[in-house]
Amino acid sequence: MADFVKKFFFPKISSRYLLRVAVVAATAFIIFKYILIPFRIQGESMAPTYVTGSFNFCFALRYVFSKPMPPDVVNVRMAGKKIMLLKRVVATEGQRVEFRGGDLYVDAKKILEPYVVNKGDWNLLPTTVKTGNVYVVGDNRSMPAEAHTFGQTSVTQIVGVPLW
Amino acid sequence: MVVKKYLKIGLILVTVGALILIFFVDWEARAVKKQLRAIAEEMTWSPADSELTMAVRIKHVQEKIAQNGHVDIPSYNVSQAVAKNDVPAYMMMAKNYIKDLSVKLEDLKVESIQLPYASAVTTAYIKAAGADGQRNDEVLVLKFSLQKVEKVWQVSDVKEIQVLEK
Repeated sequence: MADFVKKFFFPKISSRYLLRVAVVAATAFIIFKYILIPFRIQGESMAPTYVTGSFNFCFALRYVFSKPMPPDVVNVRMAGKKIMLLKRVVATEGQRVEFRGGDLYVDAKKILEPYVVNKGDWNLLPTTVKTGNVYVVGDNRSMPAEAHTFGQTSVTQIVGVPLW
Repeated sequence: MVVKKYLKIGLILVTVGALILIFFVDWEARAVKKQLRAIAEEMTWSPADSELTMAVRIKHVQEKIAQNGHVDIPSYNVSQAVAKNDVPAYMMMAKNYIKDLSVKLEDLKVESIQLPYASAVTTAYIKAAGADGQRNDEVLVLKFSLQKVEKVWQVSDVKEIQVLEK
């Protein structure tokens, strides 16, 4: 047992060992840089679904063969992937989005949103989602609409989805 | 003989390293990034900073701003021309309004360099606390336009790029 523990923590530095270390490091780099991007949530715009301080991974391969659809929660990149916005898709291209008294209407139909706990009195004139775009909003609607970052963005800005 | 061999190998490695530095490193892009990061560092202050510290910060920022420029940041309701001489006044106003400020530039990327002009895009993470203690943190995508004047990159334009369009 002692021998096993010793070999585990103090392995013999051979070429095979170094090759194993290099392969593990390269694989970890590829996975956590391009496939499962770790991120920590800061901000309340997706509360209570995602709270500030919590940790997650952005699965970047989610939309390789599909497109973002409501009610997916997506990571939207800014200038890069170091800082991303976490928002929920509520409408896709061609659809008309409107807020009346805090309620979301898509193509003039009221949308049931069980993930929204506190609704503010949001009123937004109808906007048509442009081709190639999706409309994203946070789940926390208790703040004034002017204080909340939401709107339509290109599908190419979407990096992926939170893993959980 | 052995020492000669290692000297030759060392010389070859140094030569290859120097060639890589000369031909593959974009020194102008590095200079642009360095200048922008320096501005972000100077745009960071706390209530404990003395007036002398603030004066030095203002001087450093002023050196990095072009004679005439333009700032367009809708998130802060700012869209106006800014001259180099206006920088001290604006920074003192900002200091009176924002007691605690921290600006970090992430994903800083130089989009193009065609001497003497350059443009760069970055995500600016701005943490601010007002005079009343209220926090107002913002994340903005900013596009900087710079021009090289007497071997120094100076910022001439700052424009916010809207990621989400309402």
